[in-house]
Amino acid sequence: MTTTVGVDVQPTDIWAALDSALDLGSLRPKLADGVEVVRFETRWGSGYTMVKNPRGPAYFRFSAEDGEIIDMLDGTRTVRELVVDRMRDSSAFEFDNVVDLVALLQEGDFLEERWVETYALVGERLDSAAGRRGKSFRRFLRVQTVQVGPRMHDFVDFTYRWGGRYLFTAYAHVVLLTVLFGGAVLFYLDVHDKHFAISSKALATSFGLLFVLDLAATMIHEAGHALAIRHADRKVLAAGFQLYLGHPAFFIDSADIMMSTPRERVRQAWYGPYSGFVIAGLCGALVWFFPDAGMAQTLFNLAVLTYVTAAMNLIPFLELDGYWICMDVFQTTGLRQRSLAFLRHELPRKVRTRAAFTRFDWVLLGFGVIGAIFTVIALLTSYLFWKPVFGALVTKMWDGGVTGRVLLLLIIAFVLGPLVHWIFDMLRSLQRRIRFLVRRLRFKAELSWRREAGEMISNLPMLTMLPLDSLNELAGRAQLRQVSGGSIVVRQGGSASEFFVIRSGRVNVIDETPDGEEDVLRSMGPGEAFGELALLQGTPRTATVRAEVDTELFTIDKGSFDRLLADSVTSPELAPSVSALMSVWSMPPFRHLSARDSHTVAEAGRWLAVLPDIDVVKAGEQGDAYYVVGSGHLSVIEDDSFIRDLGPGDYFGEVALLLDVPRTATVRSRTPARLFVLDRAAFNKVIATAFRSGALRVTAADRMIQERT
Amino acid sequence: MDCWHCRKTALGACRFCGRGICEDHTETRPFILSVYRGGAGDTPRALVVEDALHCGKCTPRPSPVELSELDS
Repeated sequence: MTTTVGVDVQPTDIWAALDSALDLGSLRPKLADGVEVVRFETRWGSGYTMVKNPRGPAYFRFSAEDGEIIDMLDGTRTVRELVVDRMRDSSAFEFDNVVDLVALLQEGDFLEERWVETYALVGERLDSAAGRRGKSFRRFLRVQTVQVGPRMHDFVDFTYRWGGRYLFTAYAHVVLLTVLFGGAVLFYLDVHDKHFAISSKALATSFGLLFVLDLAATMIHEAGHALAIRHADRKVLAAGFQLYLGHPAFFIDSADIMMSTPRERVRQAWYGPYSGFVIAGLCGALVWFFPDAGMAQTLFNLAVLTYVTAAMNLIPFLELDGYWICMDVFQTTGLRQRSLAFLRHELPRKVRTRAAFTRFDWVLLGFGVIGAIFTVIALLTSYLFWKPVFGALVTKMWDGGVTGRVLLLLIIAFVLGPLVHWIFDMLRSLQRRIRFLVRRLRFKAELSWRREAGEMISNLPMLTMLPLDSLNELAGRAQLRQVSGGSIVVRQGGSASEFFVIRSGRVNVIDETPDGEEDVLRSMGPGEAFGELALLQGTPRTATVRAEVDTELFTIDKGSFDRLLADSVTSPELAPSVSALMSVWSMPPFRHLSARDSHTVAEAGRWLAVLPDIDVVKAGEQGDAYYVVGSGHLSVIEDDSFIRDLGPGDYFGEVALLLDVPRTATVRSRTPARLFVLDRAAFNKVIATAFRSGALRVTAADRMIQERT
Repeated sequence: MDCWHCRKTALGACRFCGRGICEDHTETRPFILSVYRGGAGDTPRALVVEDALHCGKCTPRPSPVELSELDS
């Protein structure tokens, strides 16, 4: 891109320097200043680690195991050293985990050395130059959000210091809870004794007033959250206004609370509805004390709206505040999905088989039952209690013609926005379930031939060691095709998109010569398969296949073939790599690796066969290789004394992957043994390949967390 | 020249690494032709080709690499 002319050329090997600069295995990752790492223990599982990058800000959640790697990112170890250190701790060759993690943190700009996405920036600039006009409006239409920037935290901080902090004292709680419960009782009396109801003289006024009061209710709610965030010494990242499925609402970005303890998070989630209940109670009390005051009706309306907003937010199934509270109390992520899945699948099975419930099962069951009961009670109470409150207004608006009815529907949408959202979600889920049931019924109807397809595929001589799961999935994905005699199944030179197994009938494999003649190479019958080579090699079809008689074929699409079959196919040219892959997988340190990573390891390493009584490594000699025992037994000997036995799956020599260090012991074979050897050059190649692999990054990016607002 | 992916006749070469690519396997991404400083803030500016050919196999490193050896 740039050239330097007329500079004194020093005898520097610039290519070696470039090599070294690009060698990510020698990178010494160090977390940037200000990056915050917090580890959380959970009642279930092994906990998790939250990492916050103030440049952004961005938040990642990692497993506890990844958290241990993050603790090691202090700039003292290279990536290669991290891999070897982890190997010592976990006995697994975790290069994929380490590289994933470092690459993810690097690309998220969490490391000391800044990361610049040059090409993405260029793309962004080109985009913005092309369509700057109307961009902000289009953005609003897309996200339906107007956001206020970082100054919001200053405002919250000011409010907290100048009074808000007293809301978190014990005395304040006594007062607030008195207002909350006392106000609720007085509100009940407002409705039943003083016959207050939502009403107004004109339709437009009713609509406008309810709209404004609804906004006020959400503002009170979000203010409660904001003060609780400040109380936890975290930051309110932003605030603003959004349309939540057509429902206008204020919001605050509370992602920073994820760095706090579960207790603080529960408090933060609770303070939204809590502040709503208190304000509503206060309004209810004022109305009861001053029923004839000019503001009484407005205060009553505000109380109603605030109660609705707060109660809605506490329904656990709505994934709002009530849900976040349950998640933090039960210390379980994805609580709703897991609970529903448990109720749907595990619970009937456990009841049927009379299996014992674990503590976690009780949590999932408890959440599901409480959530369902809460939802039913909320809906029932809404119907019974709010009828006298809203009845007059609803009747008046419904009788007010088309305009009145439209306004009424709008009000319902505003007030019940979250519920409407949930109903949409449920309908979508129901639609998915119906689709699933239809597929399942169709699948059952096709069960006989699918079973036959599975058996035929598993009996193919070209497939070895096909796992049962893959076989089942293949049987599910196979299609049955009928071809009439004389029809072409695949054409020579055509692109390959399917693999075929003959169920019945007969086909001829034909070589078409350039002068138009046909040469029948072979004939194939039931149980035989064709089309795998072109798929494996990514080449055009090498021959034409024509049905000799009416024929039935099982077909497997290319995607399923690549994913489920390709690794198990043994054709003469692929046999060595398949067998190498299986061998690598058979060793415990590599068992967790994906097919792609195993392939990398298989290609980089080599196998060594040793006879009994051979010194594989000798004490005092310099070593540069790591060994894993594939089969056989070896002895570790120090100063002529037997120290321990090494058997299949054991390994030794991992330090030699980093340094030329003298071997501290002799390792001698006791039986014929097969060892997998990874030397330093191969190790470096494995790390470099992993860094270059985009697929790893995609997997790692799944660990990014969703913002919780 | 053949396509790196499918061995069909290549129609172009990757602007980043030179591998041959056929029409089916062609991808595009921005390519920086030249970088210079300019404008009021004397900020770096780039002349770019918006849709240069990319083979999808090589990985142009997005973040600049420091090479202090070039100072000598």
